[in-house]
Amino acid sequence: MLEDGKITCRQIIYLIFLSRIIITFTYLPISDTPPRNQDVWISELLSFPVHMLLVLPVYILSQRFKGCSIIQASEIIFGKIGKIIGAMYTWFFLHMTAIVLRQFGEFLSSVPYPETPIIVFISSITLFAAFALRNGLEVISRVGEIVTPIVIGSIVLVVALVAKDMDLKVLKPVLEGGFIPVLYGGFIVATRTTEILFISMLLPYLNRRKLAKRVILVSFILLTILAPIITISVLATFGVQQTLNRTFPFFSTIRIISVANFLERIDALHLGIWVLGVFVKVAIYYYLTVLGAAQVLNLKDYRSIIIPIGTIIISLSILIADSQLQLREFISYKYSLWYALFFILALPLFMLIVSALRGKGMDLK
Amino acid sequence: MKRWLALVLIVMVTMTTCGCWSRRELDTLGVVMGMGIDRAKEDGKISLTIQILKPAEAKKGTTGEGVWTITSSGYTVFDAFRNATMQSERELFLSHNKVIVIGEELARAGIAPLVDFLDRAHEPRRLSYFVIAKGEAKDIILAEHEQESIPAKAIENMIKLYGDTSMAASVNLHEFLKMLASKTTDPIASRIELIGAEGMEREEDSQKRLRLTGAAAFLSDKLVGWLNRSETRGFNWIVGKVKSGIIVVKSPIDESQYVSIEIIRASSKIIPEIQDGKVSVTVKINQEGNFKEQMSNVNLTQPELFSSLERRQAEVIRNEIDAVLQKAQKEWGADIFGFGEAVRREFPKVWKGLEERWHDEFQNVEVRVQVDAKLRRTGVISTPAKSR
Repeated sequence: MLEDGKITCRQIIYLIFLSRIIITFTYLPISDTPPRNQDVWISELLSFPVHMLLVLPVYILSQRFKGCSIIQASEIIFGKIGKIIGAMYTWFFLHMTAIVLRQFGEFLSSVPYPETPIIVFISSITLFAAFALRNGLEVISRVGEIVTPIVIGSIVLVVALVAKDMDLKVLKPVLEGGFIPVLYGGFIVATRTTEILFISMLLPYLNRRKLAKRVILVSFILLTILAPIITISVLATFGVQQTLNRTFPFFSTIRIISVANFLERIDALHLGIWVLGVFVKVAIYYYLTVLGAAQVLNLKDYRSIIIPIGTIIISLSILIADSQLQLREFISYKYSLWYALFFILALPLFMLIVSALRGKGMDLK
Repeated sequence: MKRWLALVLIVMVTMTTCGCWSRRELDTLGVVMGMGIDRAKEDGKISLTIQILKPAEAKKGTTGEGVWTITSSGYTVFDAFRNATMQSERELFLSHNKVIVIGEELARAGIAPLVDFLDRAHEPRRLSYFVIAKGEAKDIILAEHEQESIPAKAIENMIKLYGDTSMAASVNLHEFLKMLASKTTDPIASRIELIGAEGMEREEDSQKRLRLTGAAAFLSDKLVGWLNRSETRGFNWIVGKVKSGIIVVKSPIDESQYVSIEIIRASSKIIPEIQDGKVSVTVKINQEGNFKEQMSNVNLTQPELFSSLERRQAEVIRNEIDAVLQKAQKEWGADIFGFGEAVRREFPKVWKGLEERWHDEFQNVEVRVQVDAKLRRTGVISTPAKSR
């Protein structure tokens, strides 16, 4: 085995949850998607059933090929040609890592450290992540286990502190633009959850395999609770129009906090959470890239390719876009929707159909 | 090998993440306390007047000496701001800015171009107060205040105290931008003036002083007019921002004498209605007051006189509201009250057809004012010391 570690049910839940929420925490991507009005939080609630549907192919695949990641499964289904699919998934994780790194750097270069070159942030956090990777999945998961309660606690704290500046009336009228755009929004929210692939990549390392269903349910329930809390607090503080033109909505919200002329200027809190959360996200995506590459290449140990892949990721994250605008254009729903759908829905579905036709699958043996 | 790797890592980490890339110590910063924006004499330029903290002097607390005021100009706000550093030996730092004052002339020409920098840049905070100067903003920023060595802080504290009379608007950049961004609600900002009393005997009495004198109303992003103090309280009644203040009514027994009623709490509700395509709005005000002073020597603390006082109190409130409605709605057509938002929230379907022509429609909206004024307590005495 490439990875000897075992992780608990709670650790996987936290990894999925944290990786997904941390981008919402800073960028609030929902403000850029339909319905583009005060109903976006309903979209986030509606994303739950869509999540459940999207996760099905990946889940069934991982049940059919127990103990195999999606990359290993593709090899069983297609033989040598399966390597291509494996390589595609490795590319996808690599690309995601690069995007997250760039997003991480863009925030730091926009607000707290405008004069520092972005490569400083990107390469330093990648170095840390590389160090975590050397110690394996268990270490990354444990970091996630420590960080997630801090993140949740901070979000709740911020929302409580900003509550007096909120005007919940902005949430009315509900469903102003009709139901269809809201549902479409929910669909987009769900497709942004590329963390669905964690289920296929990490379930083999779950210490109690029977808890797989619980992992899926609990992590998406957590997401569906916390994402609307963030969204509503921003909407209620800034109103609809001002929320939609904010680059870093929740950060702006934290800057509004002023309790009794005393508790204010706590934006450093946001920075701390952002660094902690992104570290875990980068580490896990980086890990999946390395693990995927090792599985495709049939390596005995993935540690030898950590540094090479790290350098590729760093350079890619710089090359990926010239400006913040280009990055935003690419990760906006218009493009990323189909890109992500291909990997989380189309490919697994295709693999599932072929494996059924060919009668492959471990539970059939 | 492993040790070497660890060593290399430690060195690299300490070198790259020490967080001192662009550190700025307090003694190298010029902390901006207040800024005023005017139209410059040269065509198309902006003149910026900024108040910079002098930390050592401000500690001593002598009048007006805690700050240093400089003026610079540029084509944009940020340009003018950076140009100011050519006069300052320290880098200017905007995060502690207390007030933003805009000159009248510039405000009439349109304010949206000026606030983009304040919204976009990462240094300015949205909690600075947003004030429109009657006259030039420069004069406001240059004015001193006897109680406070940092005049900008004095203005901030004055606005924070608006609740004592509720006769001034209290608007910070955050609230102003929210109103500005709204498609239908027109913004409002605090109004400040430099007023001096002429012909006084002592010289310092005729000195001009900073004074909050109500509110500045906008139509879209352009200043359309001023609200005086009682009109401003009328506005505050409607939007529910009245905190406290004195309502002066005539004594029901002796019409030549006055009675003061202190507002204890107040709230408002804006209820839109649509009948046969006609929009109307009901403004419900709930107010509680305490009987705090009477200047006649009669006994007013009798139930029937109390209810008469209540009626008079409600009358005053209604008059204040009518005055502001007359000006903002009939004269300017500026929806500073957010009636449009209220209609949109209640009747989203009708609103779709209404949105485009709301500003024409707004002037014809019938506004019904219902005031429920209560008088609760009489203070620590009942009859006056010398009563008939």
